[in-house]
Amino acid sequence: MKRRSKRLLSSQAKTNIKGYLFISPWIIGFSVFVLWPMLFSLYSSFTYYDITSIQKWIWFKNYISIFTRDANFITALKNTAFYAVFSVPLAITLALMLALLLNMKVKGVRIFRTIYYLPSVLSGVAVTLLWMWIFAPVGGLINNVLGILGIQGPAWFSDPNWSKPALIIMRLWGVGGSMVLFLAALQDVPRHLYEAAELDGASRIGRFFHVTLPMISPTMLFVTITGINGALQVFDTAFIISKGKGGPAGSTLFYNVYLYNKAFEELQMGYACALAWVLFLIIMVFTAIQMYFSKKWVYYEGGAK
Amino acid sequence: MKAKKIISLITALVIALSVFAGCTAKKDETPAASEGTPAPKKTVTIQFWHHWGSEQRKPTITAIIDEFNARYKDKGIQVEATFVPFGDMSTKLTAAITAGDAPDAVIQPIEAVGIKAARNQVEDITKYITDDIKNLYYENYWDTVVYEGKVYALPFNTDTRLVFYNKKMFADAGINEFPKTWDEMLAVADKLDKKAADGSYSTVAFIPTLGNFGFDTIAIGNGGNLFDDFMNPNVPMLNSKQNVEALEWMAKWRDRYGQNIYNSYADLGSGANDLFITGKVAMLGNVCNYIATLNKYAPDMDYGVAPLPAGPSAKELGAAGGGFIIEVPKGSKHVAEATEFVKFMSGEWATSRWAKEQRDVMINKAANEEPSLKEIPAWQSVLDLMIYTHVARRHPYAPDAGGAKGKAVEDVMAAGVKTPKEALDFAQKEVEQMIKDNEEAKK
Repeated sequence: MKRRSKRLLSSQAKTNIKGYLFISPWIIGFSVFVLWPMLFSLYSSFTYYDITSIQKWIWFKNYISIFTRDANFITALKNTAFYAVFSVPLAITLALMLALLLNMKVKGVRIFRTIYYLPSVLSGVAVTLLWMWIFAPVGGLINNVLGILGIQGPAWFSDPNWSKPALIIMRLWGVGGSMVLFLAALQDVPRHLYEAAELDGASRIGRFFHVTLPMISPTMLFVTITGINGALQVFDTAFIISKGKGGPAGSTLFYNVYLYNKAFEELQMGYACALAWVLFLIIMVFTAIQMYFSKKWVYYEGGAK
Repeated sequence: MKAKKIISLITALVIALSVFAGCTAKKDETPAASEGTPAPKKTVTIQFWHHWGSEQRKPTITAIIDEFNARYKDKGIQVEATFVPFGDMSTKLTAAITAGDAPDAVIQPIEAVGIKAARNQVEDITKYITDDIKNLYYENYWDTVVYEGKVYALPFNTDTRLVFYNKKMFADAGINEFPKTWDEMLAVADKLDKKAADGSYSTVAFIPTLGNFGFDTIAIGNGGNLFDDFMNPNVPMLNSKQNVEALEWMAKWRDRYGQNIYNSYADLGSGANDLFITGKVAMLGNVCNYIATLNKYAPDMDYGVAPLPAGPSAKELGAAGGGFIIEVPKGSKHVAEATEFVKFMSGEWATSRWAKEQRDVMINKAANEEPSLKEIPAWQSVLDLMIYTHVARRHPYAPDAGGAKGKAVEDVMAAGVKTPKEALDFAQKEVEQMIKDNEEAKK
């Protein structure tokens, strides 16, 4: 018995098969729901495809159009870059500041943690509708408060100068997710490092920059990468507020809003797929740059990463 | 040792198989026809998607479907309705058709039939209907469901757009007659605007982008249109003289109140904050079934309706018409049975019921004869306007021309970053490019 099975399959091969069987739910799920759609979208990006009646190979025409004469593509890139440049650093700073506050030993700190985390649990659409009320030009909470201070608030979502800042403010309300990550990292920083630094005469600020920051730098890297990726893919808030159009005056036409319109309003699915792959490459490049530079500023305890 | 191996192998297999099980378990669960009853045919269930889920719409559509199910029980057709939010309808339907899992009947915007037929998204139902069916409907609307000589849907409801005005405010201001020209409308606004001491308005006369006029009705009211033809759109005409004049007139209203005040009004929506009902605006351009809304939320309000006065370049009155048709999406497995339901929906019984309860204008002529409708003072004005109402079909190569137009209007009215001419010139170029791209690619 033993001998026969050995001839049929070596024990190494059997172990491998078993291994694949164990991870098969993931493999099947990944191939059917991620890999296949990705390959199909890559193929479609080289075609003229209207979803229902025609799919025709047109080589690089979609990509050439995107880079040579698509004004909306440039607008969308600019808007998305603006959003990312302001929202990511602000969100990280705010999340870290909140995490530092909530890491202090104060009475009721658990309640505060819950309160600050709560917004990131709520669903995007409901929250967006809520914010539309808050930003309402007449009778909205924000403009009422500004009115008390003697400032005439703008018509936030109708004014192309204020629509993006309003979306960034909305984004900052949901920093609870990264805050929790920072909080967990802060609690992992060993006490004795602070004690040693204190004995050496390091100030509070010195301790933050020379102990806390290096120790939480892996979390910082993670939050930065996911934050930038998220910001480049911003969609639902702008979509709801501008009713899918990216207005006013194209000021909230973010990359994904434009992509959606191409795919489902103009029914140019091939072109939209090409747009998606361009965004994919942009995100890949950004992530690679960050991974490269992370060697210089991210500290992994235990030496090797 | 061996037992352990076998157990681990079995576990691995179970995990692997459970994935397939999860994928296939739900298929083919259609219950077998009960064998005891002597049913002549197997019952066919028609899946029907509509977007009428509101408090106002839902009871009527439910009643119509119940009636169909009662009448067709013996004929072996039953309808199962699914509410799909209007905003999701187009994406969901496209996805379902592509996946080969389309519903059997669906309510769709009237202006989309041509482009959907061109893109192979609708079933041709010509052979399931008789030629004389078109006599049931208004003549100028039959074209909306025909594409290249074939019938792809049957028409349901339509609408037109008029100005609703507050009669009490008009009387208080000493205005006896509704203005007859665009300039006159601006002139009566001087009497209707009510300004408080601090410069804020308690009532403004008219906000053109509030309500349901949009740019379309005002442009059509000046003899304009996005394309050269309503039913067979070919050449884009977004920056025509008529269109530019229309947008310039709209911008005059914005300038009258200033950008900030204008936006603060235009942003406020309908529902509980309805500005016409609360007396914040004296004139409101809206769709005709706003009559039903007023009837429900402000039954005592003394209002009048009038068509938008013809613009300076117009030869006659004009308004944009919308509405819905009912069609069989591509890939339905029961086209014949679904067409029975389509016929019922656009037939006299269902459309009369709808007209009576929803105060919509129906494309089936018989429905508009409903006696209770004729008691509404505004109803005759609505019917009179129907011959001047135009449904603008979407251009098959520029399905999103409306998006380019919308951006142009927004750039002028809400953002104030472009002049009407600049904005419409830009939109014209965008649409020309869209058509060119699609034509080239399809060659």
